[in-house]
Amino acid sequence: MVKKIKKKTTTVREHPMHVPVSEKNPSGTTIRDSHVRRLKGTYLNSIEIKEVFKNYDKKNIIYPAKNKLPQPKSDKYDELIAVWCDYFNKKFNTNPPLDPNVIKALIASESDFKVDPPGNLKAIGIAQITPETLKALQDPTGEVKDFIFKNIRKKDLKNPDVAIPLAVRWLSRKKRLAEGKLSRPASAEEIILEYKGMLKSKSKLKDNALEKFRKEYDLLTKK
Amino acid sequence: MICLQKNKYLIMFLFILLLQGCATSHYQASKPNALGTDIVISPDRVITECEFVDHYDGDYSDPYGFMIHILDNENTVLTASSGTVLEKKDCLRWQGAADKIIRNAKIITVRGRGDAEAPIIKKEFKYTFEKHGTYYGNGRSLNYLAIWNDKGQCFDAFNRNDPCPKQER
Repeated sequence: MVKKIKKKTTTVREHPMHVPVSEKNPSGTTIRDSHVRRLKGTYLNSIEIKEVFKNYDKKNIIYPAKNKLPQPKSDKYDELIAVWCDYFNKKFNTNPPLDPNVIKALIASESDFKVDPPGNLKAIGIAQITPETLKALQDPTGEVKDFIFKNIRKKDLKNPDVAIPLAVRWLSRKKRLAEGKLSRPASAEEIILEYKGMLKSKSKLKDNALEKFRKEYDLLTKK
Repeated sequence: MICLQKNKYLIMFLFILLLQGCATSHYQASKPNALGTDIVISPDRVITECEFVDHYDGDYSDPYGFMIHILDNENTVLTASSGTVLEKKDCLRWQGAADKIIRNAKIITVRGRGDAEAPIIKKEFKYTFEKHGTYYGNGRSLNYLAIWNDKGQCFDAFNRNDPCPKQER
């Protein structure tokens, strides 16, 4: 069961703390000032990401469509997509929920399901996450402060087990942003354009990016 | 004298034939299959573009998009694009690689995913091909995968080995 977020942080009072013995601290203790600590359930690190996925109740979760896309390995990450979509939909009480097919079509349009496509030197991994997005996803005072990731390194993004939950979290945020801008539920295409930073662009690339996503999404949702 | 005159006409005929042969413009699109859709064209029907992405609201400081525009037999323009934003320097790197392949070729193949025979939807964007003129986009687009030429040079968007066709490298 995914716990919804109520309180994100707690204040830890000034307290003694063990440190390595040194000339400066011959006793091996120091006083740590009062500080803020994030509460469990408001962040995930790479170990917790694996644990959540491993122990997740996979009954009754919605999987993306199978055997619909032509790319090799296109169905390999379906379980990851399904689990993390369900996790964040429940965590943020997303209504309407984020459709796992949107995530799958996004990955297809970003990387063709290649774990580390070399074409774009800036974006990393299967979901083509940039270092700036990674920083934003781990910033306790930033735009996703409700729920952040901790201690994820750039090289971790080459691992789909880590990249997919981050992409789903970022897309949840972009969905909410798009809905704020539009004052109505955002369509799959509008969420993707917000994710790609092109919601208001009038460029030819926007047309092409949308077309690319639409092809994959239509294949996935076609009966 | 008559013989010389006959030869003159023959040489002129061969010369015209040679000129025509050199200037033959070619466009042929295959049906979509598991590998993608291949469009085989002559270099005069292809241009590449790095477009600045306006009103961009994302992580790239200098956002550009890479596209390959292809003039078809009906004088409308199809576009193959990665559909992803790139930094300007990366986009120019992609463009340089594609331009090198086009420059050195007699025949080029552009592979992408999508239908090159989808219904035409006239777009507002126009493209100029030096030897043909300026034409409108036709709304057909391919998800760019690779471009290669008859000399075996290939540039792939996602992977340096696949789907560049190995037998032609």
